[in-house]
Parts: sequence; C-alpha cells; structure tokens
Amino acid sequence: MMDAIRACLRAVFRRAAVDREMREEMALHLEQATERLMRRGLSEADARDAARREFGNVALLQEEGRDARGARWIESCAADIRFAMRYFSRTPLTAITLVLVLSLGIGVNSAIFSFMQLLTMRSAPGVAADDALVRVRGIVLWRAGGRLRPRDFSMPELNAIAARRETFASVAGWAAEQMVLDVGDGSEPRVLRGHFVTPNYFATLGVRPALGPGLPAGRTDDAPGAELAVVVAHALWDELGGDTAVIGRVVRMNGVPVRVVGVAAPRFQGPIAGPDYGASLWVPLAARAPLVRSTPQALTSRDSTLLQAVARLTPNTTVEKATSVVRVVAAAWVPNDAAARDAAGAREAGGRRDAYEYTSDVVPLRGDMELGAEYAVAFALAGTGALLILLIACTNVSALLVGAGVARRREIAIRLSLGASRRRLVRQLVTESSLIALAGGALGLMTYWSIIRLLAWEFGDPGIGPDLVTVGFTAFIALGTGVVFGLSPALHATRLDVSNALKDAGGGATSRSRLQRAFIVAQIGLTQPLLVGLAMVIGITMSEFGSARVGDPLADRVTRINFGARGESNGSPNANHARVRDVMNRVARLPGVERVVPEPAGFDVANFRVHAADRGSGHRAEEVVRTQLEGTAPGYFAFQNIPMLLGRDLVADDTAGRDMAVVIGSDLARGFWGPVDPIGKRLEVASRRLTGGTTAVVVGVFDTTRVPTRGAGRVYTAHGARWRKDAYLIRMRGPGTAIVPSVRQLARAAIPDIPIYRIATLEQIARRERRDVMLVSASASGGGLLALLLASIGLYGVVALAVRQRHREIGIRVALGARPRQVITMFFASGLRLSVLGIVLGLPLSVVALHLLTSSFGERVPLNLPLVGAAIAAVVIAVASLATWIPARRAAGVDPLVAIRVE
Amino acid sequence: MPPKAAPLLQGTLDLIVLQLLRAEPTNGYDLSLRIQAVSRDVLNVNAGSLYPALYRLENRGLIKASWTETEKGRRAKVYSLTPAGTRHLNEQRESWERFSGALAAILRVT
Repeated sequence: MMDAIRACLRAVFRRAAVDREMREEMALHLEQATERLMRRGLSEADARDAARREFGNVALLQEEGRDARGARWIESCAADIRFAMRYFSRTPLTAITLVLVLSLGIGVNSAIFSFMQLLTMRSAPGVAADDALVRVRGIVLWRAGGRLRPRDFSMPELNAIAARRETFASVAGWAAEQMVLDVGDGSEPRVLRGHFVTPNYFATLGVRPALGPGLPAGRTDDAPGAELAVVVAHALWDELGGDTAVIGRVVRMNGVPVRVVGVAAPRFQGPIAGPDYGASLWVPLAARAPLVRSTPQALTSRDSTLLQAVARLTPNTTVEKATSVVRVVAAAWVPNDAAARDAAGAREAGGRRDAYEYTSDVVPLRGDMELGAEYAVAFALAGTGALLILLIACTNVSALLVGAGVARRREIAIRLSLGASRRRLVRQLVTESSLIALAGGALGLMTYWSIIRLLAWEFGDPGIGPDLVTVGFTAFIALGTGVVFGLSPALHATRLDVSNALKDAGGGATSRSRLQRAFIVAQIGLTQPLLVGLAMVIGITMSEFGSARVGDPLADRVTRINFGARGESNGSPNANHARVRDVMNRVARLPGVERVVPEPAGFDVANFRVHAADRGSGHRAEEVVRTQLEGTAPGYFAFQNIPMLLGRDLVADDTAGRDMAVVIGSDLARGFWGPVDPIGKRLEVASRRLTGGTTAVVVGVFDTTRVPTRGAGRVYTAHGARWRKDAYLIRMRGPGTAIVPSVRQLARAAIPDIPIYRIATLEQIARRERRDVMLVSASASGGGLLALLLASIGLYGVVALAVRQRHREIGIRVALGARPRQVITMFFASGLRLSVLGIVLGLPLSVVALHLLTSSFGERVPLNLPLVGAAIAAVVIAVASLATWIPARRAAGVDPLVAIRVE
Repeated sequence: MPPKAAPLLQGTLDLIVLQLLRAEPTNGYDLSLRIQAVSRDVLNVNAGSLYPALYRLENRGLIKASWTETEKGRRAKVYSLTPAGTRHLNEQRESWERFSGALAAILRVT
C-alpha cells in the first residue's frame, strides 16, 4: 500500500524525473534489442530499425505508461485549474464579487449564529455540560402585562428548595457582590465581583480547584467555617504572577484579612458567564457578614433576598417537574415587604390582588441567560438578519454564476462540438466553482474569525471562540450553493442542441432569470425593513444617550463618584451608607470643592393626575401622566445651576411630612395647569412603591429648557430621602479631575472595605457614552449597508445577465437606429421596476418590523417615521439605480456588427 | 520453424510478470526475452504491452523498481517483487490453477 502511494505521489510531483526514467528505460530496451539483433548478424542500422519495429511507437508507449501510472487525471485537473484561473482573470469583477459575497455571507452569518449560540446554549466556561445541572430562577411575574422580572432568593427559600430531596440532588446558592481585593504587594486594590457561595457550590457545579484544597465542602445550609477563605479565578491568579505559593497567603478583601485556599479551574467564572455575571473571587457565604458588614440576619430573614441558585437534579427528574416543585416553594416564601408592595401594586392595577406573582422556574444551566423579552427580540432580530444575509448571499452567488454561465454558453457549445465529453465539461465547471468556493470560504473564515475575536475582545471574554459546527454548516450551504449553481450552465448547455447553442448563444434561461428577478425583488423588499429597523435602533440610542449632556457648562467641573455600598434591602438605612456620607462630607470641605450632592435615584414610575380640587386649564389637566419619580436630595437644582422659574428648590424639611413636596418642569406644569400658578397645587400619585403619602404638592417649577430631554418630564421629590446613598456629584471651581486623587485617598483611608466603582467627570462619562453610541450606530449602519450592498450586487447581476442575454436583440435595435440612450433606458427601467416593486412589497414588512421594535422598546420612538421610511426608500432606490445603471450602460456599448454576426 | 505465437489471454500478463520476477529481479528487456524463452516462444510479449503492465503493477505496489548497473556499465531499471506482490501472486496462482484445472476437466469430458 505504502509503495503504491509513494509511486503515485512520485508520478504526480516528480513528473519530469519519472518521464526521464521512462525514456531511459525504453532507450536501454531498444539498445539491448539492437545489440542482440546485431549479434545475429544484422547490420547496426537494420538491427536498430528492426528493434524499433518490434518495440512499437515510443511516444505512444510513454503516454500509455503515464496513463498506467494514474497521473493523468491529476494532470488534467491542473489544466482545469489553469484554465479556470485564466477565465477568472478575464472576468475579475465577477470573480471578486463572488468571493466577497460568499465570504461575507459565510463570515457574518456564522459569526452571528455562533455568538447567539454561545450566549444561549453553551454551558459556562469551565463548567462541564451536564443535563442534570439546572439553574433555579426566581421570577416576579406581572400578570397584567405578562412581564417577567428576575428576583433573588432568600436563604430560607433556598433551604426549602434544597429540602426537596426527591427532586434536587443538591442545591447551591450564591450572592454576587463587588469587592475590593488588596493583595498587599503595593499595587492599586482591584474591584472585583465575588460570589459568596454555599458550601456545596463547587461540588454541585462539578468544578474542582486547579490548585489548593478549595473551600470547605458541605451541604446547602451547613454551618459557617471559622476561617475566612477565598478561591481566586485562574485568570486573576495568572495576573498576580501565577505563583503556586499563593495558597495559604493572606490577602485583604474589603479591608478584612482572608486566606487564599485555592485557584479555580481555568476559565471558570461561575455558573453564568459574561462580563455582567462572571466572578473572580469565591468566598463562603458565611463570610459575607464580616466582609460586606452585613448582619448575620441577612442569611436568616425571608425578606433578605440576595441569592441566585443552581442545582443538580436527581435522576429521572425533568426540568418541568422541578419547575412545578420550585413554584410551590416560591408561593410559601414570598418576602413580607414584597407582599406589602404587592398589595400597593394591586391597588394601582385596579384592585386585583393577584397582579404580581412571585414564582420560580428551572431551566437547563447555560452560559448566559437572563430573563427578558428584549433579549428574545434582539436575538430574533439578529437571527433573522443573519439568515437574511446568508439567503441574500446565496441568491447573489447563484445569480452571478448563472449569469456568467449564460455568457459562456457559446464557449461550452464550441467545446462540445470539438468533442469534449459532458463529464469533462462538468468537471471543468466544478473546478471553477470550487476554486471560487474555496477562496470565498477561506476569506469567510477569516471574516468569521476576526468578528469573533472582536466580540471576545469587546466582551472581555476569552471563552468566546470559533464554533466549527456553525461555520461548517454555513460554509456547507454557501459553498454548496456555489458549486450547484456553478454547474447549472454545464447541465443546461450540454443538454442543448450544439448547433442551436452556437447560433443563439444568448437566448434561453428565461424561466431561471424570472426566478432570479423574484429573488432580487425579495432582497430589496427585505433590505428596506432591515434598514428601517436599524435606523430606529440608531435613533433610540442617540436619543437615549447622545445629546444628553452636550453643551452642559458644568459637565467638566462635576465629578461623579459611585461606591460599592449596596443597601441590604431597598431603601433601608445602612451603616455603609452613613460611612460613605461621612466621607463625602469631608470631601465637601476639601479646597476647590464648591458643593457635594447625592445623585438622584429614579425609584419608581408612577401615575400622576391633578387633584380633583386643583384642576386647572392645561391641555393635560384630565390626563393620567405616567412618569418617573426621582428621589432627589435637597439643593440638587442649585447644584446643577438649574434655575427655578417659580417656587423653590427642594429643602431638608421636604424629606418628611404628610404630603410629598415635588419639583416639576415648566412643560409639565403648563400641561397640568396652563397659565395658572402651579405652586401649592396638588397631584394624586399612584405608585406601587409608595404605601403612604400619595398626595404630592408642587413647591417648585424648574426651567425645562435647562435640563437634558430625558429628565425634563420627571417629578422630583426629597420625600422619604430616596436619593442614592452610594453615588455623589462633586462640583469643583475648576476642572473636576483635580479632585479625583484626594477623594480616592480619603476613601481608601476611611472606608477601605467599600470600593469606588467609578469616578469620572460628567464630561468623561458623556464622552464614553457618545463613543458607545457611535459604536452601536456604526455597527448597525454597517449591517444595513452590508444588506444594501448585497442586494445591489444581486440587482447588478440580474441586469448584467439581461444585457448579455439580449445582446443580439440590442445589436439589431442599434442597427435599426436605436440611440444608446434608448437602449440604456430600456434596461435601466426594467432594473428600476424591480427595485420599486421590492420597496413596495417591503413596506408592510417595514411596518411590522417597526411595530415589533416599538413594542419591545416600549418607548415612543424619537423619529419621524414616515420621513425616515421615505429617506430610506430613496436611498435604496438610489443605490439600486446605480447598480442597474452600470450594466445597462454596457448595453449601449454593444457593437451591432459583432452582436449580429454571431449568426 | 518456431511454433505460432499464441495470443495472450486477458489478464494473464500480470501473472506472468509477477511469476518471473519472483525468480529474480529483472529489467524490462530481459523480462521480455525471458517470457519468450520460458514459454518456448509460444508467448511473444511486445514492449507495447509489457511496459504499461509494469507501470500498472508498480503503481499498485505489487512490484518495485530500482536502478542498477548492467555488466556493460549502463544504468538499468530492475523490477522486483514486493511482499504485497508475493501475496497477490500466490492468490492469483491458486485461482489460476483452480481455473485451469476446471477448464482441463471440462475439455477432457467433452
């Protein structure tokens, strides 16, 4: 076998040497035969002649020898490839377009799909895929709206779930918390996400530490160990130098000494991956109280919801069965404060007590999956887009290939009449399409790879890697399309009568081109809703962030600081908040600081309507206005230099009192009361967060034109002191950045356990947001332009094909006196007809897409939709016209003599 | 007068070549002479069939070629049997013997 392979390889790659040897061998044969004949008495010349006669035709024999070696087909393949290369170099535009379309189709489609698959299907990095591993999710279901909101479990509820041993082999929980890690090497402390975990966390996930003994194991509710211990992420360990001596070392977390007992398995970052979920530190749940200065009651109260859960199902338990079990548990452990809020919410929802349902479900553990319809919509959108791109790519490839095939019909006919076998022709065409497919596939893989790298970098997740199954599938479809449609001219042409094809090189294939026209119409029809949708996404992003602080004279002087001091439960005072406040009071006394104020917190969206006794004449006097209620600290408007048109700023006395003192914008005031002075007027507030004080009194009206659009319509109150306790604004006399080092220093000395999440001037924040907006907009428009480009290529292909097919007709027309302009118009009009038809057919789709988007974003879209739609239609028409005009112009260049002489 | 050259039976050339090569490695010319000699001039294999057969067999890995020097110092390509060739020869010989035995029996009966 090996000998055979070696001989074959030799025949292929060392052809010259093999041929030489063959000649030498045969020459020797002749010589020996001659000698023998000479020995029998013939003259040398006669002997040579006789030997030659006996031997036969040397050249023919050598050919046969080559055939016998099996090298023949490879040689002719090489010839095919050479021919294909020559052909492509004659029509470089088609070849390049084909390769580009294929590579884009393959690259983009598989990138989108593998990314989606990654987010939804894959188990988290470092966690082995296991059907028994599930995530138990807490859900708050708003029945009226059918909306879901994730909720966390309390320790008692988790224990109750773990007690269902017939369903769950083990149940593990964790509480995520940002922590300050100081490794004690003099470097800046890191702020990292940590998981406070139940003792069976690692065992449930089936994850072993890469180094060290790990955390002490136990059951869900096991008693806390005495020592504070931490397992660090592998990546963090690498970052710290990757020293095995790290085990046993003591580091400071939130200022508390903690012993390192393990390094987690490589890439492990918890049960859920992703930048918003992945952890770098794992600490026993029992250590939570000392590390975040919480109380031990946080782990016993049913009101203290702070845990998420994973579980391992017992054999033969289905996800559905487990869901029904956790539902029952959830109903028994509704938090008390939630029940109270629920009652308030029920009032708001019109007295239906069951407006909210506290429930749970069980789903297979996957990499990244949070609840939320917006995810589903985004995924559906991206998936449809990806499929669309693949579809468009395939259609265009087929259009271009068939077009190219029609143009070659004569060539194929000539080859057939010269005696080429059908098989030989098919092989030639397969070679050509395979070459295109290979080039397109290679480029597509590169595209795919770079997109994936970009995503991995953007998401900071090294686990995002190539997914070969998706790539294989996409490549199979795209390349298959290439090869099949590349073949079609051969199958067509070889079926034709040769003499007919020679005479009428252009005609035929009308049914095929009709199909293509339909495809093109569909493409343009689909491009439009895509573009409209993208325009809307861009519009929303721009209005959300864009212009928000543009032109704010304060932006450069105001520094925003955000601490990691979360309250134990919503709104309740917390020791950490008081410590942060003390630090900020000291900051306020630093030189250069003008004012310090807590950041407002939008704590509820409530319904407002004018109190019956105070009804005015504004155009919204009777209306129920739904807007955000902002918990605002006294002096906030003075801080922001927002002038009060009427009344006063919020003051310390406003935090208490029977009624809620509010400040509203001038627009809202005019809407409610018209020209009447709104100060002292009352509003009725319906909110599920407020259990008392449902009457608001207007104490101030600010100038709407002086605040960012998104803040203008809101209602501001100091009542209940519901502003943020962990985020402050610092206003300086000079540039805001100057204060940053001293604030950091102060905070590190006074509250080493409370991390500073972020500290930046408003200007810097705005700049970063603007960059994000640009990024989103750029990628969205990139996708839209890609679709438009692909559709144009298809249109181009179809019109070019029509021009080629009707070559003779054009010749006759020109010969009979048609002017070039008329010829161009003829094709241009037909192409334009296709694009207009596509746009018209796409309209209902655009409307559906818009409807879907508006409902999922749940906000009024800040765009003039008819205008945007018209603009996009105009752009599509313009691009399509260009794509039509270029090949149509070529028709005018047809030389009538050449075109007609074909016959 | 040499006996009339018999036409070569289809497929038997490979068998002849392998059998002769088993005896000793030989070059193409000597092989053609030897076929003539051993078959007492009944079989006359010309170069036009011999060389393609040799290349075919080499391609299938049943024989292998190496270059040696003749007595006169010319380079000559000498073919020899590979282990696979030996196996193949044995199988073919068996089936040939069965076939010829059967043929002989049939010819005797009728």
